[in-house]
Amino acid sequence: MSRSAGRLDTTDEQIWVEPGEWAARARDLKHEGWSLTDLAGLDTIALPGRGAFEVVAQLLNHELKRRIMVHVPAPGEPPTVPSVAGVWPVADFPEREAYDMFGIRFEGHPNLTRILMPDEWEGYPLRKSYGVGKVPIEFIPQPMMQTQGAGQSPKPRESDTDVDRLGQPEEEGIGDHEAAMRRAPFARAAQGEAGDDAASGSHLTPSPKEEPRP
Amino acid sequence: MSIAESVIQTIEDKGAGAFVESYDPAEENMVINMGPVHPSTHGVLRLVLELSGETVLDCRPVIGYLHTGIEKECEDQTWRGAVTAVTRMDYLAPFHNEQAYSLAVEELLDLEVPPRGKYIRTLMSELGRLSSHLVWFGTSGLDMGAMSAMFYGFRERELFLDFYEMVTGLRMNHGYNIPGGVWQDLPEGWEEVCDNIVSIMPGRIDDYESLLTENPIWLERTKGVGIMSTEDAVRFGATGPIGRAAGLDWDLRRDMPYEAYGELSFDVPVASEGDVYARYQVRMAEMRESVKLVAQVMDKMPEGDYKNMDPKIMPPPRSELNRSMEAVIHHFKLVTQGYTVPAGDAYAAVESPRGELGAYVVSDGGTAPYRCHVRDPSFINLQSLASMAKGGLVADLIAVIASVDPVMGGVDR
Amino acid sequence: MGGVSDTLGANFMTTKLDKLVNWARRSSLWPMTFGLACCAIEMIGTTMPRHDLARFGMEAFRASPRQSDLMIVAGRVSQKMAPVLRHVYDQMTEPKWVISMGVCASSGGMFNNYALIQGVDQIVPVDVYVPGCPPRPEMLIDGIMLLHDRIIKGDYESMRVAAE
Repeated sequence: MSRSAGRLDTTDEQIWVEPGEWAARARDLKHEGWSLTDLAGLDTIALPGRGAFEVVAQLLNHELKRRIMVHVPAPGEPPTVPSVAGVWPVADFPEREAYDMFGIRFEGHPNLTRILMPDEWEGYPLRKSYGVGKVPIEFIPQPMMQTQGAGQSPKPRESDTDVDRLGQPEEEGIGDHEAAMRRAPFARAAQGEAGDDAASGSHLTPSPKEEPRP
Repeated sequence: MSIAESVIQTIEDKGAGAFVESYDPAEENMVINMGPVHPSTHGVLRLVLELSGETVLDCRPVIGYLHTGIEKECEDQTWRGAVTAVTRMDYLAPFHNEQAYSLAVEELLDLEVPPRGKYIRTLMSELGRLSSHLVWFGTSGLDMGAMSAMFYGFRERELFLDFYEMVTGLRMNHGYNIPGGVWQDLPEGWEEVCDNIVSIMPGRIDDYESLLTENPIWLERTKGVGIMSTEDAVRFGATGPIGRAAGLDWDLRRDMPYEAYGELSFDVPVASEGDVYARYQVRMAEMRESVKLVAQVMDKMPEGDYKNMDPKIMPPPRSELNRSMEAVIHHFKLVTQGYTVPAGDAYAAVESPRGELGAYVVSDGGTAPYRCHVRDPSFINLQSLASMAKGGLVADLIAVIASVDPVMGGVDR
Repeated sequence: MGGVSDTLGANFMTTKLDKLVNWARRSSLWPMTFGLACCAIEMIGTTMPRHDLARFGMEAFRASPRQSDLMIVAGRVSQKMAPVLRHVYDQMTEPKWVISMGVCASSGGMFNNYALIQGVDQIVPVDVYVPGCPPRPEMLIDGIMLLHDRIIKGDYESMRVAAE
């Protein structure tokens, strides 16, 4: 629980409120001129000495120009806390978000449903027990340049805007005229002249570089 | 089964949350879905409207179509690395996201930012406010038919993006404000570019005002539309331009100053009508104030360090790595592992172009944030949308959404 | 080799007509407004005075999928948005193309987590991937020009990743 070093933009004080008293305390605070800025859920499972879940509310007093932070432990399974949406209507969406992300139930909330995840999502994503959901990244090496054989230079490019400069293998080059011609019905008869299917080049424009090497 | 009964059955099957709860077949009301893909460029906002003819009876925002799990992602990064995740929340005000987060982490670390760092942050923050308001101006105009506003707004925005690219390397989502200061110093020649912006902008804002402020069509579409009273503004916790347009005289820069705002003089425009036109006026006036602030910051920019060079937090300059073994060790530890932040929690808020943007940061003493929750102004301001739209026409609803200026990246995070 | 000869068979007339049709399609591709996040702002910036997409005939961003032929998926696609994306893609009329703009749309980007579809090619076939976070307008224009090349050559489907 850090103590602010007198800076005006951060919180001045932290208070703890028992869940049973939260609704009444909220009404008192509102009468004293405190308005709710933010309400967040917190999974305190890995923080020493603090139970499983908490609700943290940031309050701001416009007159005094001060902020306080209110911690309300959320005991039980499922963790339950009274809702303050009746006291501060601004708490509506934040409480729904805390429910969606942590599973904290807010008693008395007018419409406690999922807000960020799809309605039928299972699980509460921001809990520490819920993984990040990373997809393992696989690296599949691709050949950089398609050459006819050892010691030969790559096929000359058709135009500057072909994507061959990105190093795509020839059959998959976009705008590749020869590849498209090869697929056309009348060219199929002429297939198989060159050795490998890496295309010894178009049968339409013979190139001296395409002599097979021993 | 009649049509009304089959609709009720569908609503019951699909569950609550996205649909209006009660449907009275005796009334001739329509429940119409607007979004998440619609021509208004405010992102993936879905509204479920209950309409009686053309009049909006109720309007429920359904959000979550851009939920990226950034708060969870932050828990997987180092304290320094989380800046790059946080910056993509409210993507039209990236400097403000980073600033709120950095202020909160500096509170936990008890770290002081040198004066030049504070001034640079203030400079980028005000420029960010200007470029965000230019997008608001453009999209607002476009939504209500003033298409040229779009082109003017984005044409000016390019000047700002050029400056950002010069300073931070990126046009958007910069990752520039870090805990301890700013990542890189302002480059040579920045004064000239900034001076150009400061000298051009007031004339351009005059142009925009001449286009819209007394335009009868604009007045018809915005005056008296989407009114939010001062009581409603307090009830719904509306901050930023929509709160100030409703008469709430509150601006964090003036009332709870942070960074260099305590040493700068500026006015905070406040209106009282609370309609779309008032919000327009407030934002235009804010743009003018921001230009004045940028000019002041340029005059007062101090010399010195731009970030706190504490070797436990900040990697030492690369020239040091040739000479000092400690520098190499610090650099290695910071880059591979990151620094640890003492256990505790802190909340810090800044005044973003849309309202109060706060970061609530919890540390358990490790190298990664334990919890990083961002209080986004658009998320909170959207709750007041229903009260502003009720009783108006669908066309007025468009004007209201444009005036609230929500950025869905911040709403859904 | 293009719309006409694929449908009616390849002969002299249809291939000549193809050239005209492909040229027409290339020269006025109408994108659909599918800007989701930060990339949308750069996409809008591409249509704006400095990077003028109108010189390619593409300034008419249509909100209706029936009236557009190019879907530029600009931004991160969340779990909730994915069915909407597929639905809108299905409603577009043939021929249609998809540009995946930005790393979030191409592969999930920096957000390798539960909330995002890791690459929009999990749901729709993609023709051109434009990396970047966000990509500069010039990069998007480069991607669009690659697509133009493919359209003018009549090769609509050779690079598409098949979607399930």
